[in-house]
Amino acid sequence: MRCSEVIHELATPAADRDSSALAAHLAKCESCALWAKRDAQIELLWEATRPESPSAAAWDATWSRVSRSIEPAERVAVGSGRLAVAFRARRFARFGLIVLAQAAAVLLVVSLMWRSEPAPHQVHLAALDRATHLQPASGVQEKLIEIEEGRVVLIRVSSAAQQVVSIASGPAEGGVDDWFVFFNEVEPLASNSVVAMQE
Amino acid sequence: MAANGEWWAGYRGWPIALVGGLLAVLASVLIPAAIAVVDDEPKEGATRQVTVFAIQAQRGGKTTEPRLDAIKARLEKLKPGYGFTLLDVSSGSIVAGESAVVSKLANGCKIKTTLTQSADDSGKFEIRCEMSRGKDKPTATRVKTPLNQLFLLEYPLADGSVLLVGIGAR
Repeated sequence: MRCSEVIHELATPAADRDSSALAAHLAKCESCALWAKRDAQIELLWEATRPESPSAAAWDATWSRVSRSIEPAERVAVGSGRLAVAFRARRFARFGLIVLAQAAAVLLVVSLMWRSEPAPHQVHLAALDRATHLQPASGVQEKLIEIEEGRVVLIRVSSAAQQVVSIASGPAEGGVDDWFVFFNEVEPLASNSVVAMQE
Repeated sequence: MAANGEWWAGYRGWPIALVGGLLAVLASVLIPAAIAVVDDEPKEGATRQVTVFAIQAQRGGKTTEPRLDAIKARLEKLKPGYGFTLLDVSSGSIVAGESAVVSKLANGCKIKTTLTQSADDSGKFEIRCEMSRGKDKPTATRVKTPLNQLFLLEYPLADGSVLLVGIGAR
């Protein structure tokens, strides 16, 4: 197993996990073992501090309260004339609400359809954005370098050419992926957060 | 029922209908407005935690940087006879179209890394790295690479040393 697979397995354990491979990797990789230890500590903390789940009886009581509150009309006895009129009026109110809700839904759909049409300036900005990213100043198309999964590459860049050299195509002995470990270690060293600039 | 007007006489539900109608109209105005606001924010799937670091490799130098211990052996194999110094590390969440800039580099160099595509169908993201130094024409490199995987760029510097730039995203 590779370091990234081990971290993924620890974060979201699969039903068919290969426990022996996982244990073998953790025994050899100090970084992943530390990760597993922290993961276990967080799990313990959650178990110790999480609130109790409501019982089935509590759920039933809540649902019956909700049902009672939203269906009062059904409990009104439709007997006397005055009650019958009130019942009809309530039915009319419901009918009116349904009609209004349908009208609102139509308005909503129309407004959403209207929104989905791109405004002329949005189209222009998208085209400009693509042009800025894909075309260098000289007008020559930049070559896209595609890297395969599990392969660490070094790209030697000079003004004349770019040379791609593979420096690792898999984990080192013992399944420890040094570059992945370094990635994990270097990330929190960031002296400042990235200065994000919108093109 | 409507012909004899009986239901009007006893109808007391009009306040509910009125309030309901007003609420429905209000919702039809507010929901698209709310969607517009949400649409303007970066989408969750488009955000990537991009990390950029720069290492200077000096021929005949010595690697004293403890933060490079994890990859010291790898670096020495990559550039035998060189010593390495970690110059700068930047990490942050950016969306497609935004750039991460690393500027604490040697010889007045600046690295601008732009996330051009947050992830395609194969789960790879695309990045454009532009290296500029002084008045020289910037050099740009476009790379498509899987998440959780570093790649390195090597730039020769005027003083004979080499600038190694590592980039990775999650």
